[in-house]
Amino acid sequence: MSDETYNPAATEREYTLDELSTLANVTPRTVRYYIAEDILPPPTIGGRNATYSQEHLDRLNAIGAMKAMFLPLREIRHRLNMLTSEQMRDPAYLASLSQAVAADRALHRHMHAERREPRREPAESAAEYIDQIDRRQDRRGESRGQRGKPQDMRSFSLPSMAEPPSQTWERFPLGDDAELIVRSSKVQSMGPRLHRTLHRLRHLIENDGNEGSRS
Amino acid sequence: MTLHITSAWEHDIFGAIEGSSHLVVTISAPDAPTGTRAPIDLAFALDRSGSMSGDNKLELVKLAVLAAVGQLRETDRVALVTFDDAVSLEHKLTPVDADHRRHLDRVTRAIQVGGMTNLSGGWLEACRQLSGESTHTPRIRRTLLLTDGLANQGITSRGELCKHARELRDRGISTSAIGVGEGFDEFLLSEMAENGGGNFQYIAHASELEAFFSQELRSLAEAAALNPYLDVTMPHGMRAELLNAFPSEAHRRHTSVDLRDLAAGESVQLVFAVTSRRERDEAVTPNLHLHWVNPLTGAVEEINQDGATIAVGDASKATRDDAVAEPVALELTARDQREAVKLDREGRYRESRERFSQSVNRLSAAPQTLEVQEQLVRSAYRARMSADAAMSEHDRKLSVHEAHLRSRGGRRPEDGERGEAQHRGRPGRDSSR
Repeated sequence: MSDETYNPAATEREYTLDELSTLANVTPRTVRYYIAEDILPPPTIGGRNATYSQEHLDRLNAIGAMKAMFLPLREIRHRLNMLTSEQMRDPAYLASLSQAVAADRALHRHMHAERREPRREPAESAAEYIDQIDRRQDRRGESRGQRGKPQDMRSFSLPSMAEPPSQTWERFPLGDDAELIVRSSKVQSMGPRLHRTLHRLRHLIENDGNEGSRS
Repeated sequence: MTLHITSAWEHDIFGAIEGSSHLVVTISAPDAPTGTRAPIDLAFALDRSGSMSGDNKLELVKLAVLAAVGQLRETDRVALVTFDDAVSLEHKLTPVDADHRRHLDRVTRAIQVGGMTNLSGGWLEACRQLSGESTHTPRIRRTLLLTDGLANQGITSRGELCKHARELRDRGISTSAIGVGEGFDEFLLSEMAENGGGNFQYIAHASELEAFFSQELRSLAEAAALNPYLDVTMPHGMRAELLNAFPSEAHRRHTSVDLRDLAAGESVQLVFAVTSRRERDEAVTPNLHLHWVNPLTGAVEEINQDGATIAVGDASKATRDDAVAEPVALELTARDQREAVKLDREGRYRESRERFSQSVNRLSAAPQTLEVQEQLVRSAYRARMSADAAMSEHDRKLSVHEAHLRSRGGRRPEDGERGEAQHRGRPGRDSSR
């Protein structure tokens, strides 16, 4: 760990925009952009000769590390806000973040995999879906006596309504401030639709937060 | 095998506050090492209504079906359904072995013309044949719906049929729709194919059918990605609307697109009309997330990458990228073309011709590539058609078919390798990380 080698007193100093951007290996334009996007705090002293603190540099380095993990800006903002200033200065900690990101990505992939699963094994199979259409057509009074295989249509029973609902529930986080709790049996029956819904809800909640804070 | 995404902006600068430009996202599948392929389940839904007797149509269809079956392997399976006002399962889904080939041959040759057109009944029965429990190996499942007439029995609503096509596609069964002659509804068939993840083909004469089946089977056999799905996330304050004819949903700055299955060597260019309310003088980058099903393993694969960057600033200083302006102009033309035919069908001939004229103007302002010039000639011809009478059925169907092919990254059979080479060789600012 680099905690021992790090001495805040020795590195605490002020930087001009040019110095800061050179040290952080970004353009001054990017620095201004991050400030506008609330990812960096405004300069310690504003105006023409604005100065920036060690915190700016630490944050920029942390942003750089997260950019290398191909994290989108909103994600970077979110993760930065969860870091302590010690963590932000700790290269080992930042490196370990990539594992967390990889784990999140794996989860994301998993969610997407399930979300795409309907195309392979949906909650309601293609055969059941076609049966539903047939039943609806029947109700509309369409004559279906001429169907090629009428017995196929009749062999299906209605969904098992007698089955009691399960007593277990599952929780689905929707960002930091919300979660959805769904009965396990419903999770099964909704299948990929649930993940599609979760995806939308997450976007909604996330957008609300981000767009609300935009000037 | 993995897909590739590149993206490029039409302009290098977005105007502040009310900016607009186009983003072109190209998704391509590399050429496949041939040999192994996923097995194919194919179900034909053939119209045998009264009108199919004319022009030797039904006989030519039968020959084309048998020729297509001849191209399949023993691991593939085929079902054959025919429909008039009644639906007949002529041949249940079975492997294409010698015995079943003989049976198929016999029942196909024995198909007789009948009465009305229960398109939904025939199509759904064909889909049902493909809907059985899938075995462990992933299979490519496609229904080929062929008709020469209007759906006048069973489900006849275009919206409802398209919804079912999309739902079934979600459940692994794609639909291609083939319209033969001049009596079918080009919007019903093209939209069913677009929602069903397959292809729409206008066959002016049944003798062209064999070539289409052959092309269709080749693309199924060379499938590189099933059910590709693209999520585009624009930066805050920006919205993207898809112009192509793929099912798509936009929710604030997120736009998702259900693409068609891609065969090896194919590519699709998606054109997004993007608007921006951003004020700041900054560069912005969209995020592109693509996932698809690998046809050989059944596994979901994905790419998540940043798209091309564009600056927000003084739009008067923007320069246009010709390599991007071309697909944008062609895609907007495809859109105009569909609208023009719809207007023509409504009897609004003058407005329809004006739409074609708009395309002419648009194409004249675009970089004059071969493709643009060819399209310009076609659009100019249509713009000059009489505004006092309807377009011919042939012109209507040809227009919609052309628009479908353009929009879906398809190729006209005669374009062959040329069109493909153009796609692959097209320059663009590559944005891969």
